[in-house]
Amino acid sequence: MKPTSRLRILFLLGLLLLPAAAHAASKNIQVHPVIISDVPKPSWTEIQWQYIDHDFFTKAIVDTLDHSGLFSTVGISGPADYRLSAEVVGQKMVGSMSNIMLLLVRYQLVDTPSGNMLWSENLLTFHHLSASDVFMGGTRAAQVVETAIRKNLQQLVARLDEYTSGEQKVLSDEPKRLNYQTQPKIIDKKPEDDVGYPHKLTGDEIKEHYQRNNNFIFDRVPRSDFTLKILSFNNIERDCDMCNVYTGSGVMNIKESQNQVCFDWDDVSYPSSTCFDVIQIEDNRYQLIDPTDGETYGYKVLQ
Amino acid sequence: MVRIILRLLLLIIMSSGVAHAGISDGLVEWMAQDATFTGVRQVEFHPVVNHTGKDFDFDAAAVATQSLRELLTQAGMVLIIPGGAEPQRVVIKSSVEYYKPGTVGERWVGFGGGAAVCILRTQLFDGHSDRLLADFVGAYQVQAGGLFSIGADKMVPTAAAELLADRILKLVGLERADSGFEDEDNETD
Repeated sequence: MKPTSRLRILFLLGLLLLPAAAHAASKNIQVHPVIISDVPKPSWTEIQWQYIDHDFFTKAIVDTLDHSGLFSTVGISGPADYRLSAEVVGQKMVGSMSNIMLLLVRYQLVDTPSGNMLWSENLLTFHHLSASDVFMGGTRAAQVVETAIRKNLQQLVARLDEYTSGEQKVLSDEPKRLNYQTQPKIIDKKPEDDVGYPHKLTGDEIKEHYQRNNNFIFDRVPRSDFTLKILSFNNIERDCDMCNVYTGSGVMNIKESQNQVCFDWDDVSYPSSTCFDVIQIEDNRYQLIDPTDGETYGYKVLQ
Repeated sequence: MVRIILRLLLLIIMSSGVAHAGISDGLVEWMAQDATFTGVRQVEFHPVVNHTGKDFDFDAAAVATQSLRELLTQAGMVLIIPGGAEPQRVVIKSSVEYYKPGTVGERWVGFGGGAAVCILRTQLFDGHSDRLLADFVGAYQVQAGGLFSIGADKMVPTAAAELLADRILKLVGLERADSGFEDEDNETD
């Protein structure tokens, strides 16, 4: 049995619990029809089988985003600034009495004009019926599915809110997306004539280097380029197109006495959280080298 | 007297049946289309972290870490501690997403009330690019059984870890050590 009208009513009531966006909407978004790649078969013990179909979930996303106020318009066709795709990659009812729902949805947000992937993530939500809910009778299956969906869409809104807020903030400073084909403008000064390359920067030079520049592009692994930006109070942020976690944050610490710069990332393992020597190898070409294991990252300074 | 013994035996048999029927599990997963894990034997393994936002008297994350570590190593995988010199091809990170010890009393009633539940998530990343390659979520619960389910709260993290370990091992072409099958690569060791 497909989602019942009762499920739809429960879901629409749940929309009222979604938080509205904290910032003004200025862009529109197109929601692609949801792909359901996991349609489970009911077990003989499930008293009222529910699963998510693409029409229902597509409408749920559109209604949710429309209510969120994150975007000026939300539709399933026509030109738009963003394109959102969703694929239900996993939906599983667990328990002979259908008391747990697992829902795994992969979302992808694309900047329509450029075609660039802006964000992709698997959002996992689940719901476990409480002891008092288990005697709800036939509605329990609908309840557990509906709640898992609502939690998933709440996460989606939170992620999009976070992203669109962050993008507006970044756009006010400079483009978040860098055109890698464009030759970066050289803004770092040449070393003195008597200093050849490669030149290992001293603690003072490292400090001056990172005070003068705060935006860099790294190219350690092909197709895994990332940008590193120094924010205030030594907070740093890295953006990586091909990484699972697009934006990572952490802190930078310059150890002048040891002639090293150290990075400590909160949520990402790439690049490493460790201390590096800084070697200048060309006018605008540097390397971070971990002296303990030789791990090396090359980078350029960007304006 | 004989009648009483027979009744007790019948009660035990019925209760055992109920306890078994009260166990359920489920797995959902996602894999990148271009991800291949053939021949992967050495991975960077991170301890399971607690994502529930709650603290429990029983450390489900530590138990799940121990179970995953044992099952993977016993099957022939080499687990490297994070922060090593060489980045590994595959990085395994896991988390306890949900844990509920439940109560024996409510599990006597059944119907899912008082269930002991553990939901674990394991993600496999490319060690060089940090790109997500695979995403597995396993749930295990004991939802009935009454007195026969004593200790279920301590057992569900292990059982959920077994679900995920089996999936990882299948991915890389290995079998659990106690399954009676041996990996061909290990035979030459």
